[in-house]
Amino acid sequence: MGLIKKKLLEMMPKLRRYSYGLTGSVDKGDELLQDSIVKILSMNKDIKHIDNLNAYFYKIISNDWKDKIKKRKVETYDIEEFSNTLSANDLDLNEKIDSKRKNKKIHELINELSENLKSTFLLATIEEKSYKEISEILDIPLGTVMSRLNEARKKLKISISKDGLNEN
Amino acid sequence: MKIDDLKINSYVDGELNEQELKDFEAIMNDDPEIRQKVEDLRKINHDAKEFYADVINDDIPVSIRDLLVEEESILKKIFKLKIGIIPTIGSILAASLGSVLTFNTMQVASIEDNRPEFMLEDQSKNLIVQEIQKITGESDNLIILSGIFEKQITYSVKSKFTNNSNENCLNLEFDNLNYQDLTITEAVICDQDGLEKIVKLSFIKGPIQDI
Repeated sequence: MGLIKKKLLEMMPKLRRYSYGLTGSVDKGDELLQDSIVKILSMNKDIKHIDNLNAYFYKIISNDWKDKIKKRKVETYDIEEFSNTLSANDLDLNEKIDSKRKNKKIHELINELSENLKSTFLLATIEEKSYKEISEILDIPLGTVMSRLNEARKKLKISISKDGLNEN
Repeated sequence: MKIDDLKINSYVDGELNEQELKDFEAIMNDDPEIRQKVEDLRKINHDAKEFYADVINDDIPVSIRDLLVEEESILKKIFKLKIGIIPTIGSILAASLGSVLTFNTMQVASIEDNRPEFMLEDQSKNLIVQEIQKITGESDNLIILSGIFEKQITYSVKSKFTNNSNENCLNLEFDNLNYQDLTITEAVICDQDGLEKIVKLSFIKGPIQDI
């Protein structure tokens, strides 16, 4: 158990970022992460038998998120609400993000992707996972990883062009 | 080499092998359309990464950190509070919560070996864990994780007495009552105006060794 906790703490910022990406908000991301950690700790699995612990944690979070969205309709992400949350917690970060309207828009567009495309895009682009690792985490064939990524980026490109973000 | 959108994605994500990379770049250098596509994908990736970079620098919420704190920290926290710690046999520690109630015992009865055993109820388990949490400042999440409510815990009454406030008190001895890395061996519970209050807890670090 001690080793699992240590590894989780080491990977915490990345896992938190992934949870945030999936859910679309800081609060919901932390809630997802907390639930996933409780699940991981309660499994009490011998981690020596897990080849890729890193991928294992991402897999638990991905599955937990899938379960959650099956159980309830996911609320639409509200960028203004996110700004307000940040202003309460971190003024510097809020200012930084306010000055990057363009990037906020990117986040909105990513959040509009279907759950399958979003998780694949986040793992490849933000978490810099290899296609093989993504295939393991999401339990999908390598070819599906590639086609999902291609589709996600195509959609993002079209949305960005529509919003005129590529002109900045 | 045929270059399609999947191949361009693979190039941007660093998924091509050495030979594929050479071939791809040779073709790309002569094809402005492919160069543009690569540039577009890299821009999307760059903008997305820039946004998410802020999250990774944020502090981890306390509720999540509490789930992962090292087990040893619970004892360290108790020591930091400078509560009267009375070493007894071997590694046994008794941490008195007597600062809440002035605790001068006046033992009136003692029950020796072959004491009857009772099941500890969830309400009492909660009372004990809450006392530990008051000292350590741990969050409620740890109660669930400790698995304390899933186990059957027995206790026996070691002694009965009244304290100097004329309250009836019981000194209980527990069998297999564990919370995180602590084994709670005894508790003194006094009845204060109909409400049970823990005035003393004894515990050791780790499991009890067989003699």
